[in-house]
Amino acid sequence: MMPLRLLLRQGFRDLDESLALIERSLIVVLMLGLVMLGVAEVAVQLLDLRRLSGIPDYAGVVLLWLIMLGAASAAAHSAVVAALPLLLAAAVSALLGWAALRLWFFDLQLGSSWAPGLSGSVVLAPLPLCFALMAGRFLGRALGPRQSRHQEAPE
Amino acid sequence: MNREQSTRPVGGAATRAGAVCFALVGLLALATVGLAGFDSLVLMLEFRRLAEFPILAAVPLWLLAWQLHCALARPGAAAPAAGPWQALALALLAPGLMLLLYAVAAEALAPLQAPAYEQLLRAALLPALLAALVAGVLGGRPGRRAGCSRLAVVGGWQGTPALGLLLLLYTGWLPAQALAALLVGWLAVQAVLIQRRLRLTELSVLAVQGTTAGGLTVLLFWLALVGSSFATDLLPVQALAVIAPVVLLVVMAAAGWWLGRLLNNELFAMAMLAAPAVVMGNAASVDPVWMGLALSSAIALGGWLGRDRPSRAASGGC
Repeated sequence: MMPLRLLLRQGFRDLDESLALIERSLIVVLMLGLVMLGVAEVAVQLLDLRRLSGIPDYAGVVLLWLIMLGAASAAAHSAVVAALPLLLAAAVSALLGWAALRLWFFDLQLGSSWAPGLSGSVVLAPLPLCFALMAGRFLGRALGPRQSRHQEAPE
Repeated sequence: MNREQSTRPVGGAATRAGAVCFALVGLLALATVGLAGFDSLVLMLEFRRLAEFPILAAVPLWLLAWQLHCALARPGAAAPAAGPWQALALALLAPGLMLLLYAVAAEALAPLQAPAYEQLLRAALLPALLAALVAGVLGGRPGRRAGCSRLAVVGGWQGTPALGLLLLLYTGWLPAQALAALLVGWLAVQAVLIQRRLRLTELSVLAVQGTTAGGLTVLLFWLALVGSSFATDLLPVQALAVIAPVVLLVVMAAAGWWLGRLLNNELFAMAMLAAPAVVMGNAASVDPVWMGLALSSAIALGGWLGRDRPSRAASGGC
């Protein structure tokens, strides 16, 4: 019978792989969105469509999400032999995630609006999630088997 | 398309050193906010200001453009060698991501004195051309691996429209992120539809790689920026006013050279140094344009010196 430790490790690995798949899909969609927003910005500039001048607001939101997803993806591929920096990175991610969660609750109560059709709580929702993901990945790499810490970027 | 090129990690050294740098910069940012007497919630409030600078979207987009260019240009060819002057010219010419990070840091921390991105690019044009000239004169000397993507900045962009878009950066007529989006769109259409070198799945892999490297870089850059803005309340930064501007310029250039060499990734080094350089330069009344150029040049030369190390060789410099 498989020991509990191995079962847990396998479970976490499966979960991480599923999350990574979702993360990559979101990155591709957001990157496509960023390209389309950039092209729309050029069209606005060329055709002088001032009523569509809110494009930078949406671009900023997409950027924020993309940065967080990119950083979470990078955390999955960080390769450091020593466990201490990884544990420290996990602790920092957890603290930032906690602060992001509090900010999200704060924004939810406040009901602020970021851009037309986008509330602050929707915009900020990926922040605590991505920081939590980063913390989990750094922790997993610090406590996991050594050879897995040398994986390269996604193929 | 060359399979090895398509799946090569972007900013490999950055993702390798990522955990250490993230831990250090994040810890410093949290510590400065705490020591300044604020709750960590304030740090996150500052963090959401990142969305106010959509120009930063140019970072992942340019990285994706470089990857696409790598896929299109000379498939299977080894990365050509580059000398120090060539590395310098590459660092300063468009799209000049190091200069972009510096421009954003200046706008966020010292908006009154901040030079515009295109102003920095134009100021870098003459030194870059001189460096390129010297590189031409010294051509044939042994160089170090520069990576196809960086060399592609100077010559051989895929077709006239792409080169035209790069040159438009100097005019400031369109924001950098819009130009980068147009360039990505053009290169993607060429790679997938016209030349048929890439499949859509490979294109999505490149998008993930660009975002992975760009995301980590921008996250670190913003944490360093927030930390630096709070550190001005804690540290006697104004005491730097007694220092001659040229001395601070040399010190920051030396720090850039060292960090560029140590991290082996120029963009990553600039992400960590841009904000402290703006704060200190502002206190010592250093011309922000000179600071930006000195820092970029020093980091580029430091990165060139560290390029033979194994981590960089493995990442192919892309």
